[in-house]
Amino acid sequence: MLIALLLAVLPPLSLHATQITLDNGLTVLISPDKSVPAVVVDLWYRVGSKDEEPGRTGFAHLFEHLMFMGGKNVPYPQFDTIMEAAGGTNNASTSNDITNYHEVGPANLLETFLWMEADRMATLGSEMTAEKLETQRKIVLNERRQSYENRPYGKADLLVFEKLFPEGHPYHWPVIGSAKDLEAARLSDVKSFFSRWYVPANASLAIVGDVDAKAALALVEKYFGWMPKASVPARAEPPPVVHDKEVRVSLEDAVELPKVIVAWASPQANRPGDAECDLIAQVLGRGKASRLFTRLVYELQIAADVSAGQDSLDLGSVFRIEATARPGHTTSELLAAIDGEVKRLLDAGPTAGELKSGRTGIYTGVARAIEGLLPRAELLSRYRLYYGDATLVEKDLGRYEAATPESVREVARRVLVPGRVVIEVQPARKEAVQ
Amino acid sequence: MSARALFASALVLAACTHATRSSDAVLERRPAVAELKPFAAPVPKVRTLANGLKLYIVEKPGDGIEAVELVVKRGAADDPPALPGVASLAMDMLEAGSAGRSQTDMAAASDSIGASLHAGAGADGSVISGSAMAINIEPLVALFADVALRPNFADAEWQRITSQRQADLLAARAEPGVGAARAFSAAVYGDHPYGKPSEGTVESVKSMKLDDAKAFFARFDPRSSALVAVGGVPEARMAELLTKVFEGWRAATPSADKGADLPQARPAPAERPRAVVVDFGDKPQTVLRIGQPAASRSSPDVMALRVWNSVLGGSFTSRLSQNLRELHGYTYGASSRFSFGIGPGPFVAGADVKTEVTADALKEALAELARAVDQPITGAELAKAKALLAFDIAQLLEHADGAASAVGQLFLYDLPPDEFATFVARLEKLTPADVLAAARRSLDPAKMTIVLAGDGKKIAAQLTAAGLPAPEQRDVTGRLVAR
Repeated sequence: MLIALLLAVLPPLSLHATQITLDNGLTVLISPDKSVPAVVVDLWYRVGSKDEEPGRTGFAHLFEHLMFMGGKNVPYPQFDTIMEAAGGTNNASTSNDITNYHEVGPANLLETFLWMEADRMATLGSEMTAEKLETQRKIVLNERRQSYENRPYGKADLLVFEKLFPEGHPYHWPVIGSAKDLEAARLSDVKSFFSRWYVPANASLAIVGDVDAKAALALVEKYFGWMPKASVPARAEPPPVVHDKEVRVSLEDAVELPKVIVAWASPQANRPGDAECDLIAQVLGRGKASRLFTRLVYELQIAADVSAGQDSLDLGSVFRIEATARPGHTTSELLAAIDGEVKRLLDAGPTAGELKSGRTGIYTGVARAIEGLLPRAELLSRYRLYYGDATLVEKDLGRYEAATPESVREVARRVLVPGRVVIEVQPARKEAVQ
Repeated sequence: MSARALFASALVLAACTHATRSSDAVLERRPAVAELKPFAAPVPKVRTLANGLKLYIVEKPGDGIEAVELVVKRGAADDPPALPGVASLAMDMLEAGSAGRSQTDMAAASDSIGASLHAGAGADGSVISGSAMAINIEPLVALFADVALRPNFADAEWQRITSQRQADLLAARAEPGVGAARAFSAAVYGDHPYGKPSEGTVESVKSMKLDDAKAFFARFDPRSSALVAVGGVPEARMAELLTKVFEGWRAATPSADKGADLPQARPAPAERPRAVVVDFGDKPQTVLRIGQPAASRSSPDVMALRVWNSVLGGSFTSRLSQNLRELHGYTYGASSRFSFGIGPGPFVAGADVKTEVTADALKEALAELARAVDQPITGAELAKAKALLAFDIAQLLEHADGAASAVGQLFLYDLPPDEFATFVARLEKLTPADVLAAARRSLDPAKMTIVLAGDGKKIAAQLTAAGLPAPEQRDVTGRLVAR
């Protein structure tokens, strides 16, 4: 009671950035913040595993690794040695839609970061060799082993997209790709992928930290402004995915406890219904007051854990519920209980209180992202991509404000349908191990 | 998918854009790096309340997230020897209902203000942490105090929590990384408290009683605890708020005003390089870990050891990462770290390597370790390590909860409030000779324990072929199966 009375109305969140598009099409976002003496440079290329050619699954991610093998003026391994010598570090990641590269370091490294990113954007292709490809191919195959093959339930994770998106759909294969396709990649693939996608007009550069916006922009002009404009290939949007009936897969893995993954095709990122799916995930699966946790873990005690989430993607999203069984319980029990909770949501929708908490959780998540330099850079790039304006945090949060118990129920009825993918993982029978 | 596995100024350069616009010549010149501007590292303001509880408060620019933490110098090292997991389960009970309200009601109250609230036990101490938007600071502190001071310890919740823990422990048996960590601790530390799994074992959890958890919690005492707050709320207001809510806290059983009473003496390391194999059947990778007990947080060598570790395995360009990943392609990532505790925490180097190259990777890792205690690091390596470690301090205040956790460590390990402020000056003084001497005082690669978790048959065959010592066998829970 006391808590409810003390509950404050949440203040509007603010996000400031200078936004410029250079003549060659490069998007530039600069958000000064003097609270820590650091700078983040975050470069997004709008290319991901969805843009791969047949027989080359995993290539976008393999290419991400190759970006560290040196351009003309920053030969391998100087990309890393130069920045680490001055306290900076970097990383990169690839998804179905996006490849992003980021550097974090003391604020005096801004120009160095921009110089190095510009060098590889301009010259990586001409410097690529078969030997460099070989080095990173090995490492990526090791990454595949570590992240999927040697990880409990990793094989099931790889199946979700394959089963949910039909053959020919750009999300049919996993981002990590198949070992066979990774082995097949050739130097010519690298060069053509680079010249096709790694152009200024297909990129968004965000700078966040202890910088002066004008000086930072001048540096961006200096290192990127000279690059010629090149067009970005047009991409067709596949038709929405519809399953008329359930697809069920059962597999064995080296695990101790059974697990079930239920996945539905859901509305595309930032399209109508996407925000409602985020709220459904909050109501069903966020925290110990959520409906699935309360039913499966707390009341029935048939699950060790349960989660729900909307994976928002450009060409079609994935709404997913996962649960791991307690010893002695089965995936059938889990699935029955999950279905019970889904039906209850479809019948009556969420309560107003659940919706309010869900919104507050999402709002606080955005506030946490704005607090961090790299998370803020990523938020800016995402808003720019979806709203054409990097600072439109209120437009993003407005989607959640606009949702009502009725609209959430309506979207739930449209998304959480019988046509879905169910993957059941059972512990493999053990050989006698000595 | 990431490129890298985990590891842990004046910018007024007026660029002349006209001269450079039409040319890539601008790329040919490596830019100069301006002198670093000095920065002010956070120094918490410290107060002591009448009940002995310390307050550590840091004000951070902005009005976003506010983080609070209660650090108690009681942890898993205090678990009864036959009952590992008591501290950890007691902390789970703090998240399972408080002040007469159920777990579900408490979670709903927390969700209604967008708060994150957690309780957990490490070997040396226990931490209850909470964070939310600064505007919700009052309801956050009220909830946080209920969790920290007024847990229900209800019987029904205990049944749920222990059943849940047994399932988690069972699930973890499928993870080679967890199996390797268990085997390492058990082999290296034996009966020392750091040898016990803080999360317990299936057997210990089964035999534990709710009273065991209550007894652990009863030893929480304001005199061996500190409250930390980091965020945009003004320091004086935060102190007032925390004082109001926590000044009435009294210990259930007043105990000595000291820490966890961990043995400071280092257990004797293995006399020879000892190999331990944990068999997981057919596996594509071997989880390789190499290490030994090293130093406690109070050791004067801590700073030098951090520099040494940064060079060996603390960053992407470190020797282990360059050798095992970039040069040989054995792994997705190789790294090393120290865990300095109240007692002598371990040094561990490791990588997950392709099964077929296990022995080759092990030889390379051992050679890097031997070289690192044989020869001093270079001047360039020293400068790099200093730059990387100094930047860690510069970044401390970026996230309120990260900063609160770092400040909490100051209390737990009896470090001065100006630890971060003096960090860079102390770091700058170190020479390659200091670093080498510190490494030699704490480490002896010839006596390290090597754990290999993966395909037991293939690993054993490679060790034999490479002339390495015959391994002892431990199971996935770390228990010795065969010598």
